Amino acid sequence: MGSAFFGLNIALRGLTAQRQALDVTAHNVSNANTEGYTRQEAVLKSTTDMGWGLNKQIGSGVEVENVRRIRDGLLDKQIRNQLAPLGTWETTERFLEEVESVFNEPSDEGFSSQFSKFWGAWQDLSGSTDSYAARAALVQNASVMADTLRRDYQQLVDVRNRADDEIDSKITEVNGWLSDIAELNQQIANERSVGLDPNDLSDRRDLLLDKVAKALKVHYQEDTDGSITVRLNSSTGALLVQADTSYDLRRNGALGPIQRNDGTGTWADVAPDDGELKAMLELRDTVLSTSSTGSLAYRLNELAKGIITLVNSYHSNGYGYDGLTTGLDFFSGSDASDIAVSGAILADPMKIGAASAASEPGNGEQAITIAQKLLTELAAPPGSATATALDWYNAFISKLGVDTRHAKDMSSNQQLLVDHLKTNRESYSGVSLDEESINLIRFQRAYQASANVMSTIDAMLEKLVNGVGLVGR
Amino acid sequence: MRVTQRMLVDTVRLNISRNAQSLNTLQDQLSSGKRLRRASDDPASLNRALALKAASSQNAQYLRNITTARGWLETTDSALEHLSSVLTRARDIALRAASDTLGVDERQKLAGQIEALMHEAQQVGNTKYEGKYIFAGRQVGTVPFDVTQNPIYQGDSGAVNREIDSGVTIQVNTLNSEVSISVTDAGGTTSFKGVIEASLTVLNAMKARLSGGQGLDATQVEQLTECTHGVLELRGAVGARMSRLDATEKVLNDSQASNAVSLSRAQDADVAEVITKLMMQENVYKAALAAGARVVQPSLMDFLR
Repeated sequence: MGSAFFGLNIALRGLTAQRQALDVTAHNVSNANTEGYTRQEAVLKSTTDMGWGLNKQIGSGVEVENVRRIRDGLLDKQIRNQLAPLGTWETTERFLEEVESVFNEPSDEGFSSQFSKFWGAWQDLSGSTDSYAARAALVQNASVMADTLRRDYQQLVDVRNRADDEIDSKITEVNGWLSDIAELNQQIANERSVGLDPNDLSDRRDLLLDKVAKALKVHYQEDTDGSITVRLNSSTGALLVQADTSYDLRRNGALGPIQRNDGTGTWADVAPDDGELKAMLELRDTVLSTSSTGSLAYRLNELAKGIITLVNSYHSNGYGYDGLTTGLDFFSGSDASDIAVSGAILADPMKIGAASAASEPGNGEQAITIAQKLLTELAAPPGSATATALDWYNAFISKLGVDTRHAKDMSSNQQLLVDHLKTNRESYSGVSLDEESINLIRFQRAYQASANVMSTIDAMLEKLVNGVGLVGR
Repeated sequence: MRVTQRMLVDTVRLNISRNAQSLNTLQDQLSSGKRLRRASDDPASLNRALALKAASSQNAQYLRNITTARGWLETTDSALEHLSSVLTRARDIALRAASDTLGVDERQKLAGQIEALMHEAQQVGNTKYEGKYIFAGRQVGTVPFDVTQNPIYQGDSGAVNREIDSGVTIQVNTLNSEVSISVTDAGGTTSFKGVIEASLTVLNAMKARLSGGQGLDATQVEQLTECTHGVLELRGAVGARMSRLDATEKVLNDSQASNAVSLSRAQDADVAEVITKLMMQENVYKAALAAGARVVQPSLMDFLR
C-alpha cells in the first residue's frame, strides 16, 4: 500500500520537473543570439512505478533525466572540412586583390602607360636633338617609369611582409584557441565523470574548433571521456591538442616556416595542407616572394633588367649633343628594386646619346633605334629572352588577373557551400523563438496543473484529517 | 525544414548585402563607363586592352611625328619655291646682261641686283625650322651657307629621319647634295656642287663678271637654267615624301579608329545594358529591404496575450 501523501509527492515532482524545463526554455531564449549556442532540451522521463499490491502498478511522477544539446556532430565535421578551403581562398583573394591594386592596371598610372610615354619621349627626342626641353622630357618620363617599377617592387615586398606578419599574429591566435580547447577538454571530462552535462562548455569548444578549422586543416575526434583530440591535416598528423595538453605553433623568425613544439621544447617544421595559414605561407613563399622564379617580384625584376640592359647597350653607342660624349649608361641599377636614370644623364640631359655618330648635333638616329628596339627587341627574361618588355609585362599582369579571378570565384563558391551547411546547422541546432514560446506555455500549463493536483490532494487530506472521526460527536 | 528567427535574419542580411554588392558593381561601371576596372574583372579582355592601349598611344606618337615631319617638308618646299623665283629673276637679269649693248654702268647696276638676289638665295639656304637649319644636314646648329668669299657649304650630308610607323622612317631634311650640278665659279673653275651651293656659286660668278663690267655668256644662263631644274627636282622629291606622309597618316588614322572601337569593346561598359541591369538590381534590392522589414518583425510573441 502506498502512503496517503504519495500523491503530494507526485505533484511535487511534476512541479519541479516543469520548473526545470521552464528554466531550460528560459536559457534557450536568453541565448537565442549567442554565437555558437546550441539549443538545449530537458528530457523528461516518468519515474519508476511503485508496486501497489498485486498486479497493480501506479506511476510515481516525472523527473528531468538530463538536459541535452541538440547538435549533429556529422554536420559539424562537414562544415569544418569546408572551412579550411574557405580560409585558403578568402585569404588568397584578399592578398591577390591587394597585389592587383599595386600594379593598378588598366589605368594611366600603371607601368604600361608609363612605358608608352617613355617610348614616345625617345621619338620626340629623335626629331629635336638640339632641344633641352625634349631631352629633359625624356629624363622626366624615364624617371617616372623607373619610379613606377621601384614603387611596384617595394609594394610587392610590403604585401609579402604583411603576409608574414599576419602569419605570426594568426599563429598567436591559433595557439590561444588550442590552449582554450585543452582547458575546456579538462573541464568537460571532469563534469562528465560526475555525470553532469557540460552543454555550454561543449558549445564553446565547438566554436573554437570552427575557428581553428578555418585557420588550419585539422582532424579531430572525441574520446570516451568527452575530450577531443586535434591533429594537423589528418588522423596521422602532428598532435595539436590531446586531453588537457595543447602543443604550441610558432613562425620560426621572419619569413621562416611554421614549427610545432612537441611538448619537450623541441620545435619541428609542420606544413598545413589547407586553411588561412597555408594560403598566407604559400603566397609569401611563391607569388609574393622576391627570390623564387615565377614570383611577381621576379617577373618585375626581369622586366626592369631587360629594359636596363636594352637601353644601356644601345645608348652607350650613342653620342651626346656635344658630339663627343659616348659610352654612357642611360639607366643605373640592376633590377626593379634600384632602377633609376643614371646620375650623368640626370645632371646633363644634353649628354643623352641620341646621335649615332660623333659631331652630328642633328643626328637622332640612335634615339630612333632605341625607340624601335624598345618595341621589337626581346628583352625579358635577360639571357634567354622570349618576349618584348611590353609582352612580358602584359603576360604576367594577365596571369595575375586570371589567378585573382580564380581565387574570387573559388572563394565565393566555397562561401556559398559553407553558408548552406551553416544554415543546415542553424536549422537543426538554432533556437526558434516560436518553439520556445510554445514550450513556455506548455510547461507553464503543466506547472499549473501540478499545482492543481497538489491542492486537490490537500483538500482530500483536509477532509480526512479534520473531517473524519467526528461521527457521533 | 526547421526555420529559426536567426535563419530569417541571416538570410535577409546575406541577400541584402549580396544585392548591395551587385548594385555597387553596376554603379561603378555606369559612373566610370568602364567594364574593366581591375585585372581580375575580365583577364581575357585585359590582355587585349593593354595591347590595344599601347598600340593606340604608339600610333598617336607616329601621328605626332608625321605632323613635325610635315612641318619640315612644308618649310623646305616653300624655301625651294622661293629659291626658284630667285633663280628665275636672276635668269631675266642674265638674259638682259648678255646683251652687248649695255654699258659698264648698267652692268654694275645689274651686278648690285644680282648680289641682292644672291643674299636672298643665301637666306633661303639658311632657312630654319624649329630653330634648326634645314639645309645643313645634321649640322643643324651651324649656318650652312656662307657667301663672304666664294660661296661655301658648311653643313654635312647626313639625313635627318623620323619614324612615322613601326620600322618605317622618312627623311625629313633635304640635302643640298641630293642633286649635283656642274657650275663655274668666279675664278673660272668648273666643278660639281650641290644645287643650292651651285646656285649661289653661279650668282656669285655673275656678280663678279658684271661688277667687273664684263657681259655674261651663254654658260651662266645655261647653268642658271640647270639650277632651276635642280631645284624643281628637289621639290619633286619633297613632294613625294609629303605624299608618303599623307598615305601613312591615313593608314594610321584608320588603325587608330579601329583600335578605339576594339579597345572600347574590350574595356568599356555597354551603357544601355548596365542601366537596364541597374534598374533591375535596384528593384531586387528594394524588395530585399522590404522583405527584411516585414519578415523579421512578427513572431508568435505578438499573438500570445
